[in-house]
Amino acid sequence: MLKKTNRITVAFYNFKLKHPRLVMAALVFIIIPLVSGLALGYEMKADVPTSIPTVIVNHDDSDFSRTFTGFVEDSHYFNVIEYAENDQRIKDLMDRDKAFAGIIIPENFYNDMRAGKAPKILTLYDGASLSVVTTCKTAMSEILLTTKGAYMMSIFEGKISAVPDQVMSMVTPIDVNYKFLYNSTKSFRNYLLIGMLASVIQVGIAMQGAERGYENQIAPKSYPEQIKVLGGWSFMSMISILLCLGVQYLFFDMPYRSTVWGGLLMTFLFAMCILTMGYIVGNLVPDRTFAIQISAILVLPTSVLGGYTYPIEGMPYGFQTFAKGLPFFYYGNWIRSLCLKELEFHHLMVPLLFFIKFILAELLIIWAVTLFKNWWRAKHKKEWEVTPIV
Amino acid sequence: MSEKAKKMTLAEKKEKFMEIKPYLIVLLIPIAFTLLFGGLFSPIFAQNIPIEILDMDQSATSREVIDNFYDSPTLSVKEDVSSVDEIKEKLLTGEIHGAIIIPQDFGKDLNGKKGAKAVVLMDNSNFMYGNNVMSAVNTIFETVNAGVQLKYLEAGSLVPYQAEQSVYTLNLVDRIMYNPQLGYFYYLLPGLLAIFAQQAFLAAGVPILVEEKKRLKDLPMKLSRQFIRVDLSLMVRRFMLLTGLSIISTMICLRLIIKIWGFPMEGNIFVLILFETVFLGAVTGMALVIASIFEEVAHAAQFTMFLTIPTFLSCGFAWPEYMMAPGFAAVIKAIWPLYYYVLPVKNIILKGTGLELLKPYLVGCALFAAVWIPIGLLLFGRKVKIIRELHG
Repeated sequence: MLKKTNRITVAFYNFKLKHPRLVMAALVFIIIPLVSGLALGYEMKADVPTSIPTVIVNHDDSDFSRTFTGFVEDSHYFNVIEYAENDQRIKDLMDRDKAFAGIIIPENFYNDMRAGKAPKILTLYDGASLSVVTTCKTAMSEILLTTKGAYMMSIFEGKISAVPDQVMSMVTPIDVNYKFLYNSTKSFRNYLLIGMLASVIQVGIAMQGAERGYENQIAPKSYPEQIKVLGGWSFMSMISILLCLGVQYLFFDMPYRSTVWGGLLMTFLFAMCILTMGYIVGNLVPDRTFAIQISAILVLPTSVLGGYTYPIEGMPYGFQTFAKGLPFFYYGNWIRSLCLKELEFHHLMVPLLFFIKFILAELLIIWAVTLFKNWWRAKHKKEWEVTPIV
Repeated sequence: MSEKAKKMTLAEKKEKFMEIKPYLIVLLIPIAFTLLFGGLFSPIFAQNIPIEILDMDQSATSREVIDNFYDSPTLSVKEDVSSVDEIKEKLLTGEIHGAIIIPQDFGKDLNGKKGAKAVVLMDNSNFMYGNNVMSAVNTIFETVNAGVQLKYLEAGSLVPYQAEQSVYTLNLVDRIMYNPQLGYFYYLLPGLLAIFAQQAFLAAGVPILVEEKKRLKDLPMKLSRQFIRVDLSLMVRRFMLLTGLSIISTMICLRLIIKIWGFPMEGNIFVLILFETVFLGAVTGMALVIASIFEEVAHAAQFTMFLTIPTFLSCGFAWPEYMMAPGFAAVIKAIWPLYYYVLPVKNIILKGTGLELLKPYLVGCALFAAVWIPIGLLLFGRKVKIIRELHG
């Protein structure tokens, strides 16, 4: 006799046995998108790397060097965790993941500078933490530019007696105004999460596609019926992506600045591309679990191969060409653009056309496979007097 | 052997393949992905990023400045736009990732010491592009500015040496520790090795456990303890084999990336093996938990595949622990063991960190395994008992 405490387990177990499709669809299309969206959105709540643990070794101890370190302390990008006595301490703390940046100001720095010996400040970054370094370097350069600007003004005023009006334009002969468009705050969430979450969901979509494809092996359907199945499940898949990104929009300030209809259409077509890809695998591979694993493995690496985080200009030529044949190359980059840029429907022609061509090619494959299987079944039905499963 | 294989029917061959499939997954999948991603990231630097230059000045000076951008390997410069609107349109569609606008009177202002202006637009939606464009453009403009400053100072009675020292003083010398070229490959690969090991192990181990659960369901209710002990020891041996193959696979991956792409391996290989062994023990605990939840191998396989990206993004590799939202790190360390493995792997490979400094991770991972293996066994055993009662 079962214990009372086991009743919930038994009820859930029985429910799973009765409705395996419903349970997995709910897990894949609702629960996982929501949990992933909420968890990762919350994790990266800070959004931009700030308060980067920094160690300073100041061998100079002049007012000038203290002013410089003061700028570093005042910057919200850095958190000076220690003023160390020796240079080795920076490496020690980096080895322990306690510090990500270090500054070494050499002895007699200010005197050497005044004597025109051009001393250098050494900055060290933990290159093993790329996300932090990129922010560190830019912030540190800005601080140095401010300090250097003030110093150069004194040079121009003192050594060549330039009039104050002219000094600024001599210190920076070309004043460059850098404008970071579409993600001016360098939001890590907006850069990374939008596509990565879509990438999480696409794995589920492909696997659900494989399940549907395998079902077709067991109980074959006509071609129009198969297209109906693909359409319905693609719609579910689209809802799943929207749910996941919706969490970011509602709770974590993810913007959406572009055409809504364009975004919906693009998401539906992308979902159909991936679902159909899984369907083809499931329709061909004779083992259900293996079909699911293959379909997942086919789409999993595309989050990296598709040039979503790492620019495709940094890939070898063959990989660049390959990336341009992947649905995620278009969806990942364009869904981020839809969120961050102000795109109109006509801007989306490139990804939409790609998806349509891709889907047509997939449907052609399914048609060919269906024809072949029908022929094969008919042929062997006569021999074996039963309809074989293909 | 080959004779025997030839005589096998298709069904027998399939059965044989399914028998060895978990071991092939653990051994080969990480190697295949390492080769794939190694090839992908091998160039280290992003080159030829398309940008547009709009020269509204069309003077000899502006031409001289613009010519510098053609020499940059990072940038692929085009000058086929005639308005800012065209630039904006190209930035919107991602055709270009940056643009430089040189306004009218640029040359006149520069030559007249009035301070010339320039505008640089960068597509920061993917800030890998933004950073690369910014870095390349900034270096060029700084060089041009330094050249102009030198001319000003030399014209103002400073001897060339003095002028040069004045301009180049107060500079930063950047040193990127552990990844001198700031390459994406060096940064990402330790993390990928860890996630390959985790996912291949789960993809192989969880189906074994679910199959076992199914098998136990159909066995007679009154099994002797002897039988259970034999069965358990067989399962332990299978998981030990998976662990061994996973370690061999990681070693082959490391060897390949060192040989083919000259990847640096700074640390002690035995420390790495120790960490992987303890980590896979911890993952076994999670495999037991997952296997106790799912009744179908296919469903369990789907769930484990789902874990790849979320566990990677939440383990402290891409987003360091100190930047995580309050409480998140504590929860993630309690429910998934990747944190205790991925960071040591990175530190061993890139930093050469020794066991002494990595001890907290090892203790954490061992504790995780010590807690979750019994929980996993308990849940798994309880589930087996329940379904046996239900079906018996």
